[in-house]
Order: sequence, then C-alpha cells, then structure tokens
Amino acid sequence: MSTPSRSDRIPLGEVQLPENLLEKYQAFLRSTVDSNHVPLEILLSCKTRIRQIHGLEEAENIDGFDVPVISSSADESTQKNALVVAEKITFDVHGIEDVEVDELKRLLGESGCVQLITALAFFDVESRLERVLGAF
Amino acid sequence: MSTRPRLESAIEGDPPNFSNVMLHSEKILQKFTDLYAEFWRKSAVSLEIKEMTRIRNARLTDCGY
Repeated sequence: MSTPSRSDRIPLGEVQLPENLLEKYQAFLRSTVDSNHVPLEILLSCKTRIRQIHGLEEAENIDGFDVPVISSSADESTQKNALVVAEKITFDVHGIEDVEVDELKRLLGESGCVQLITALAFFDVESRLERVLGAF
Repeated sequence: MSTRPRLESAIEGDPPNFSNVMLHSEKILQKFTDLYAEFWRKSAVSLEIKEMTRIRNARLTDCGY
C-alpha cells in the first residue's frame, strides 16, 4: 500500500459528488472543527495521527507522528487522551473503554466530547474516502 | 465496548439517544442532519442498496441497529 502523493489527490467535487451533497458534507466537516469546544491543535494532531494510520501521511518523528505545539499542560493531557481514542476509533473501535471517554468528558465537558468524537469519526471517514476514491 | 451510555442527554430527564446526545453541540447536529437528509433524499444509489449497506455495516460494527 503506497502513500498517495499530494499531487495525486483529487478534490471530491471533481469525482462528481453531487453539488448539494458536497456542499453539505463540507459544511458538516467544518462544523466538527470550528465548534470551539476543543482546541484546534488537538483536533489537528488527531487528524494527522489518523491519516498516518491510514498511510496517507508519513510518520516523521520517533514516536511515529508529528503533533502541533500544545500551549498548556491541561491541553497536553487532553491531547494524550484524545490521541488514544483517535487511534482506537480508526482500527479498534470496540476497544475504546468507558474510562477513556470519562476522562475526555472530564477534560472537555459533554459538548467537547461530542465535538471530539464526531471529528475523530469523520477524520477516519475522510481518510477512508481518500484511500478508496483517491479523492479528498 | 461501552457498558453503559457514555454521554448524557442534552435534554434533562430524557434517556440518551443519538440526537439528544449530539444536541450538546447544536451546530454539529444541525449540519449532520442537513447532510444526512441530503444523503437519503436523492442519489445515484437506490434506497434499497443504501439500507442494505447500512444494516450490513451495523451488524459488522455490532451497533445493534
């Protein structure tokens, strides 16, 4: 399984996804990122990790992934917990444990937890679409 | 695997379900509902095929749909 180069990536609109569906799909994806209950850096690090698991981005550091700079220890703790769930949601969704979600709920609240889990699920969906269709 | 509902309903007193849990983030729920309605409303794929794949996917992921 090779990693597609960026120049090979095709926008979804060009693979003839109906315009209305594409528009609503993109609006929904934006809402998972800009709902402001979860720091953007955490979402981006999770997205990077999920894309790496799917072989869509190269892992470049010793831990296997690059993470954006996190500015506070609270966010660092949230990021670690979020990355655990990001990895499991990609290939071991039944392995996600109550205690892991409880911790995210404690750190982010119910709204943040909904935003994070939804974003992670659809980062995975986006990666699968890109992997299967060759489109993003 | 979840042993209990992991998130509470956003509507006090209601048992948690997909919609009222997602309601914690109203904007996401609204955009998801828009997308899902469009997805089911029309497409090149028949409703029968979509429903069949939905049931199959639910069984494979053990979601109880």
